[in-house]
Amino acid sequence: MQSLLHSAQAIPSLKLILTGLILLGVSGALSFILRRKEHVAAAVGSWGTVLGSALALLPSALGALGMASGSLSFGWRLPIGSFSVSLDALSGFFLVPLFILAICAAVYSRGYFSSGARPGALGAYWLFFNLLTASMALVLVSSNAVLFLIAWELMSVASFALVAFEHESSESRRAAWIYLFASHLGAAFLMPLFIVLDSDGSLSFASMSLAPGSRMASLAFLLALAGFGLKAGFVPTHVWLPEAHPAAPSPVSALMSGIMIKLGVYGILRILAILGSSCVWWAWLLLALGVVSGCLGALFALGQGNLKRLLAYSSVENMGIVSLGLGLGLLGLSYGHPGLTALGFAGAFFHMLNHSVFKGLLFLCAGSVMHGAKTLNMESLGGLLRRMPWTGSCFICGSAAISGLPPFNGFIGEFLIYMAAFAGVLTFDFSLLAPSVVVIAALALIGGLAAAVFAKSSGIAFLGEPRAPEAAHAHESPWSMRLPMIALASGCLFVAVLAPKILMALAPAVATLTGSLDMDASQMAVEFSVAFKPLLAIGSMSCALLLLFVVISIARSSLPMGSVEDEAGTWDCGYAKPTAKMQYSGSSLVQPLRDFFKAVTRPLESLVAPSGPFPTAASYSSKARDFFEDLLWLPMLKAASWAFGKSHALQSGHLHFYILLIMAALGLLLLWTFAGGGASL
Amino acid sequence: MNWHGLASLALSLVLAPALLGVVNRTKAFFAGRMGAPLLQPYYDIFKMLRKGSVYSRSCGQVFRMAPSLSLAALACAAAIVPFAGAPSLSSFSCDMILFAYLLGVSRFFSVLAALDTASSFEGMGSSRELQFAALAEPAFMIAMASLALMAGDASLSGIYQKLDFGQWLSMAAPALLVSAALLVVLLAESCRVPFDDPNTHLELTMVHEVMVLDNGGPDLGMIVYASSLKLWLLGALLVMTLIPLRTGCFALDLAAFLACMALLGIFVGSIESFLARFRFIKIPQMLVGASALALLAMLLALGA
Repeated sequence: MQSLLHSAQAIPSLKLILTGLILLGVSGALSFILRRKEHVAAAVGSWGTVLGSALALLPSALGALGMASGSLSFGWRLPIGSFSVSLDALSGFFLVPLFILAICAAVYSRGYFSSGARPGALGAYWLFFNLLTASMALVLVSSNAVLFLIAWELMSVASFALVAFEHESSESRRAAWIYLFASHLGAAFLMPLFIVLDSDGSLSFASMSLAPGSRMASLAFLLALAGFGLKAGFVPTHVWLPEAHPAAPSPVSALMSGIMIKLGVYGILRILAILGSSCVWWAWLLLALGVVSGCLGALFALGQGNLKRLLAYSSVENMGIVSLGLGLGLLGLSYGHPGLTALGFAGAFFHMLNHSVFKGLLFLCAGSVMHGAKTLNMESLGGLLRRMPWTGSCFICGSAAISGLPPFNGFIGEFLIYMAAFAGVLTFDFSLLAPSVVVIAALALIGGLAAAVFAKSSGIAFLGEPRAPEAAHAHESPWSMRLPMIALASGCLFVAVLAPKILMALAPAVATLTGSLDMDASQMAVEFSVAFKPLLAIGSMSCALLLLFVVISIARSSLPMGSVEDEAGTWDCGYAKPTAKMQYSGSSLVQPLRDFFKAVTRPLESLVAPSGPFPTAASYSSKARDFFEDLLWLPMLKAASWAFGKSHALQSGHLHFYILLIMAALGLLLLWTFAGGGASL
Repeated sequence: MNWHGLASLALSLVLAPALLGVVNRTKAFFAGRMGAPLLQPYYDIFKMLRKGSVYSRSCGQVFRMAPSLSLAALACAAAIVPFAGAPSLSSFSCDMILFAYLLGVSRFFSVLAALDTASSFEGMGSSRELQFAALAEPAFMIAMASLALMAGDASLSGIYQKLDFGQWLSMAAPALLVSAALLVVLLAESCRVPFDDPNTHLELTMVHEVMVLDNGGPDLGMIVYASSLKLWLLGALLVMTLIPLRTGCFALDLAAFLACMALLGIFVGSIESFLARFRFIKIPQMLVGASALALLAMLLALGA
């Protein structure tokens, strides 16, 4: 009866979501058709996004809570697959932040492009923006591999077009090509994955299954990790992230970093749900990827001077943290330990939700900085909090949230992963204790590095004195850009306040992964309840913190001389004429940390030392570089280019040679058919 | 109502500057001086609370609100630590994580306030503070995980209640190693010699003292009190790990705890008198060494 009720509720939910997607597509197309009239195109596009997302938001939330699950199927003209969509808790969990962030990014884009772009560009922007949102949602609800791959490809193409939005600049073009190549490299792993998983030719998720523990299951997992991990930005396949996310317009970067990289994790989770079982070495692989991605992402972020590149590397680091949680959950699943499984997966899911909120916020603030100060180079910024108070306050809230500081939401996700690790330690079983200790040490180090990264970005960009004229004349953004930032910053606080409720709401989504332990949503809720009291205590402690802060501030200003304030220059140990250039720059602030980890991050350094008894010129320069790009990918791609270059002999340009090739291929095919190999043809 | 926890919390909040006084008095003794009175930190804090403030033109709102926020975070952290074996006011599973991150809140906003002054001195202090914090976090977390393994409980109150004398004797080696790691973390986080010299504000010792160079008046009073509270909190964790006296009678436990905190003050003062500040190259190596000690303690605790 319950399931009948659910499927009765599911069909309207799915239909509402599909209607929202159609609305998105139609408004995007209309916007492109009307691209000559910029204001009309922008209005049509943005209203379409907002209305379509709002329409689909409530059904997605119902699906995430497990109150509406089911599937719909339509036939289509393609020879394989079918248009099957299904809504379950796992899809719903990813759909909710997608639509919320899409609404925020759409409202923000109106203000970001209010001063206009190239003629006709805004229509194309809204077409691809709505297409991106719709295709991401379609990826999340598709339950047939062919539909999944089509939606995946649409997502890649739409985001490629958006990354290439400023295609006049060669860096943007280069970033777009790198992004397109990386997307297709990932998709190349997905096709064999679905062929391996498919058992009856229909390519539908519901009918896919593999024997637990078999070699095919491990092969499927590895293919999924390669293909989806590339999209999620795991090291070493992360090199496209710091190129593509800074090149795209800021609202698109917010959507890409906030949602699209989570779709990579969604793919891995969907494959895990389909496979149903897991091996221990899968968990170890995820943990290793998590440690490496987290630490290296934070270390590379330390060395960046461009604000958006720093945020992109920080996304790599946060996906590493998610992978740590997933690894702990899979470990619990393999050893049959329900507490570890529940808390590990809960931590990973909560952190993904948090990351969508605060990474979206940070990218929107970075866009606001670009809009107001015309530069994203932190070495030219400074003192922006005075000129752009709303942007600055939101950025500082976002930085505190992403560093995992109470009272914001980032702390809750990391706390749940720590709880899982401590649960693993307290099992007194070495095979569970060793990875748990690795997770504790790695998460502590990653947290410390992330705090350093965001103390640098918020301190250097927003505090102190302006280091260049552009920062001195920065102006605040219009209200259409401020409102989404304020909404997301308040979201950081709300998620923290509602953390116990949200944890319980995650139970249906996490339960889709734990079929092998026979844990359904209600049993998962029981496992989660061990974290309920700590989260309540954290919530009350955060309230106590804010209350105490207010009380101390009031007490301080009611001291007898408390309101006596005088102004002077910065003392600076008595230096009479300080200038803005004497401040610490971003690279000097993190120099002790970078130097300690120099052997790992391998920056490019060049030193011309002073020499001789009367030294004259001397110089030192250091450039942070991604050594995966220089030492792994570039040589590999050069080798591939050389190897494929050998096939130029086939492209001789002579028509006779091509006709010969066609005849040879036809002859071979005929031979094969008549030799009996063509029975299925 | 947890009266024991409330009483020990109130006593700790009141007595924290006295620990600073003990440390300074010990240093004066080894230097052959009379030294300032034991209650001098109180006199200093009250003097600063009676003053007005001077703010730099470069500073904004963050600089003005950071001292209050740091103090609030440390006061909340004090509610988590179980003093004298009584359960703390706010105790739950894995509460040491919240403790560590509340210290992180205080540190993050101090760094932001230092960067707000647009001074190269404060920037230098911030850069060193960020490095020490990033490397001290793993040491603290692994030490806490070892303690949890030794006691079989994941909350600070549970750990220190279960870690009585008998348990300690059977786990003496891991407990000593964890204490060594916690001592290194204590000295690094409260900015004592050999990690930082709390006496001077100049280039040689620029970590914490130089980050507050431009603070004055009530703000500086709050910062001095907050750093003494941090020394007290981390010292309490160390003392309770090293000397597990649980007689069961709360008054006796509290008296023993306060006596041991005074001994800790003398010990820290002696370290400060006998050692010089290490070169900055060595400090991260010491912090990594503390993590290694904590890891070794965990392996020993597992084997025991």
